[in-house]
Amino acid sequence: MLQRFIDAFTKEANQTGIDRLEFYIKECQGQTVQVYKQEVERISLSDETLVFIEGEYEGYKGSTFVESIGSARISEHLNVIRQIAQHNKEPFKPRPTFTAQARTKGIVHELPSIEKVTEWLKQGEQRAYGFDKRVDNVGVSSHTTHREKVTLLGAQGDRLEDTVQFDRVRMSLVARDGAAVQSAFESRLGTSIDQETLLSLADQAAEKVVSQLEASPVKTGQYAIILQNSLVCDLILAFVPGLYADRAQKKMSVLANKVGQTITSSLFSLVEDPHLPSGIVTRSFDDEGTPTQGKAIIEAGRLTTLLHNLETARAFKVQSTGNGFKSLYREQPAVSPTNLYVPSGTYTLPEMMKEMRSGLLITDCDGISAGANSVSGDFSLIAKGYLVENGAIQRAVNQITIGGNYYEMLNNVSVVGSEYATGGSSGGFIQAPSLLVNQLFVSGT
Amino acid sequence: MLTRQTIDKILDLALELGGDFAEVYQEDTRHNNIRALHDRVESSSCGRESGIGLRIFSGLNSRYAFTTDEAEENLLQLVENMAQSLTGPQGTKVPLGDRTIYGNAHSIICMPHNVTYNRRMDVIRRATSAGMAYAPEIVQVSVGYLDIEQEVVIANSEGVYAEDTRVKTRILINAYAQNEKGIQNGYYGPGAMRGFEYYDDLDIEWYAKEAARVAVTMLGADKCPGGQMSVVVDNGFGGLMFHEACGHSLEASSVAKGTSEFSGKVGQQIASPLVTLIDDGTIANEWGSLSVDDEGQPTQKNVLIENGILKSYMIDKLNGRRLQMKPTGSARRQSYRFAPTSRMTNTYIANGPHGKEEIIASTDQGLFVKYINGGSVNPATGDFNFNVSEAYLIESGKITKPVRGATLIGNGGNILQQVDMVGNNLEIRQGYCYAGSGALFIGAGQPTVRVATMTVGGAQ
Repeated sequence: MLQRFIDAFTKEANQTGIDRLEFYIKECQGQTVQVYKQEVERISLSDETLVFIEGEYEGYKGSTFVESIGSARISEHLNVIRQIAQHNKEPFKPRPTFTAQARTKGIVHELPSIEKVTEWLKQGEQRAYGFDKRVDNVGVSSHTTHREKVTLLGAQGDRLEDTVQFDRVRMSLVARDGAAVQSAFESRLGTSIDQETLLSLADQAAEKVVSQLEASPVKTGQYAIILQNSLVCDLILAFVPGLYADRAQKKMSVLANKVGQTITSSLFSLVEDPHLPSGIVTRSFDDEGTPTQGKAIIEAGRLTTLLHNLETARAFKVQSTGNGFKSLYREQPAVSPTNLYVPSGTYTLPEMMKEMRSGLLITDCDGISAGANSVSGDFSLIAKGYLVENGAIQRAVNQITIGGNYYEMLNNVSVVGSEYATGGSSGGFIQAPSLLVNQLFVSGT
Repeated sequence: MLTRQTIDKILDLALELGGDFAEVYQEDTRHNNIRALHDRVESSSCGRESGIGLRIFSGLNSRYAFTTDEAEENLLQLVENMAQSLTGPQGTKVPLGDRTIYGNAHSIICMPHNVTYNRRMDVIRRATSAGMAYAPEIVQVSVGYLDIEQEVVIANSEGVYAEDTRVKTRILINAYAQNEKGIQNGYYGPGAMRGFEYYDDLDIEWYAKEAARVAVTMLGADKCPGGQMSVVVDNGFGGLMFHEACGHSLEASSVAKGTSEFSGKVGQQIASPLVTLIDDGTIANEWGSLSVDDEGQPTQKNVLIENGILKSYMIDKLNGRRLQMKPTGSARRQSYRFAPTSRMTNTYIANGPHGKEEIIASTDQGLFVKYINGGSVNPATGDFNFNVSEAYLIESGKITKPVRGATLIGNGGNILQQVDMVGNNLEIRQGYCYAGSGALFIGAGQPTVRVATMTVGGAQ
């Protein structure tokens, strides 16, 4: 059906003066199983084909997008392409002929069987309830598999295909003890998640929620802080747009003129590896057809490069770094990373607490989308965690905020942990260890 | 759109295979989404989002599937895949009557599909020039223009067969100011459930200047001090505080499993008597309004809290089964990619007895929040947060210097009790809400409100 649609669209386009069509096709399949109180609560299945089309009309570029290709009104879409071309008057620049080779087609596996996943989830839920009698409600326990195939069809008939597939498991728990109520949310992300990972997730979520039951705030002031690995992942993803050349070009990043300079502690590095074995955004080429590349973005504190697509590379007079990805299939390619990681240090979490002596171990923050400003690097976020004294956890802490500037914070990193957490989505994956930061401002009582 | 015969076949098969309820949701949405920086178009995303979402219930077990392949044989195959291992007794079907066509409550004069691209660009140009001209510190104005024309057909095995056209129009203006201290931005995004006629009487220039004014003001702002203080939140989108503090926790998706702090509390005093909270999806032409919800039930005005007493939740069909309560016209979804669940529409605090000046004058020390950026909540504990985009210190009953970067936090149940003054200047503004069934158009509103004490997360 897809090929029929492409042929019909191309034919009708050519008849009305639109040429050099380029197609960007995303075919996604997904499956989610959710269990509640030992019963299957929800099963979701999906199958979609999404098409973005660009073409040249009177020398200018126009575009449109189509979802249900079986019932598409081609003439209306051609009209959209013509209007955009005529009004934007952006000269059509044909994409370079693709040279990248699809490398990841081989790693796609069957969607896991619903029966098997259901059994794992039931065991995970039991494990969480069994951990402690104060675990009161396992509200969500789910397993999702998502697969997406990206196809780029060039005007010359050249073609690139790449597929990524990953699993995500989630569990959210509530614990109660008298009037005290706490909740915890944990998730894991990977190319293929097994039963063991799900069970360890249940243990960790249960341990966390119970240990938080007696949480209370601390006094307002400066504290030494360990940011737990999963939170480091969230924070890096929130601020990674500061590294995008399109943001820098638009004066929407404080890193615009900082390439070559030291921007963080020398203990901190950030590396992109499109073929990271644990990563989920394993792409051989970006959405513009440029081969993806492994690179140190921050190397021992020094910013070595911004992330570029074809357009920003032209503006900055450099080569594209293979980061021209779309945030939505129906938009123009912007900039985003594949798989990122922060090289780990040698300290375990208990060793980091001993090193810190007194301060806070922060495990979770909420409201990151509103409370973290990726333009300035400033953040102020509601936080949960533990008070650490004499190198050991004293009690749980909640209803506080941590605040400061992301870059100043990375400049104050004094210890890098040894254990990884992962996070992200198909728009960027991250693997990072815990970090000890000399000081951050905490608002509490 | 699907024929009635095809819809009938899908519903019949779903019931035959063990469902006790089945639903077909079809959507065909025209999107025009244009983003420009200065006058240069950065991205034009214009086309159609279309597909089908199918849902089957068997008791509390639900199945959802979505697809872009609208062929009948594919849809019937999908029903078979979805219904695997359903064991419940077969449901009975109420035959579909005539299709009910909604959409007349919100008069739309100029449908987006009749608007040329150039007229949209005029709107963008007006906002850009007004923002750029505001002050020399403004270095960048980025404008997003969007209109949406969403046609939906919703049919279910209980005889619902509805058709609706939802038209939404919005402009998002971001102004960036820069000096030796750094970069700050200001934002305003007026929108409505209207067609292009919205711009006939919208003062675009005022909104652009307002976004620029916030950016320039924040450039001169110090970091916000942290700690406990009185907080006055101004009218308008300040209502997002209640959207986070208690709105989400009153959605059946949080309440039904007993995991919301407000589960089982209908009839109880959960807030200060000054607080009346309403969710109203019927307000004519408002951004968060809908004629009919995404389960095919007409929207309604739901009084959630009245003079501090919890009256009702927002309820969708599935969570209604768990709660054994009737749906309230609150089922929403971003698109066919999402199963619907209970969500807010236009949520606001009703007017109270106090004047804005009186509220500020009677506050000795505190924080005045003019605009809110966004926030989130954990419904189980009620712990919520919101980040401010424009705020000032209040000293000796007067608004003094601007401060930036604050996130305010609290616990819903506790903050509701701490509301000690409510103004009489209700306004509703527009935003998005991101949750279980995707990103939705919502209205958030309130008059000026004072909270006696809350934790201000500052940076010094």
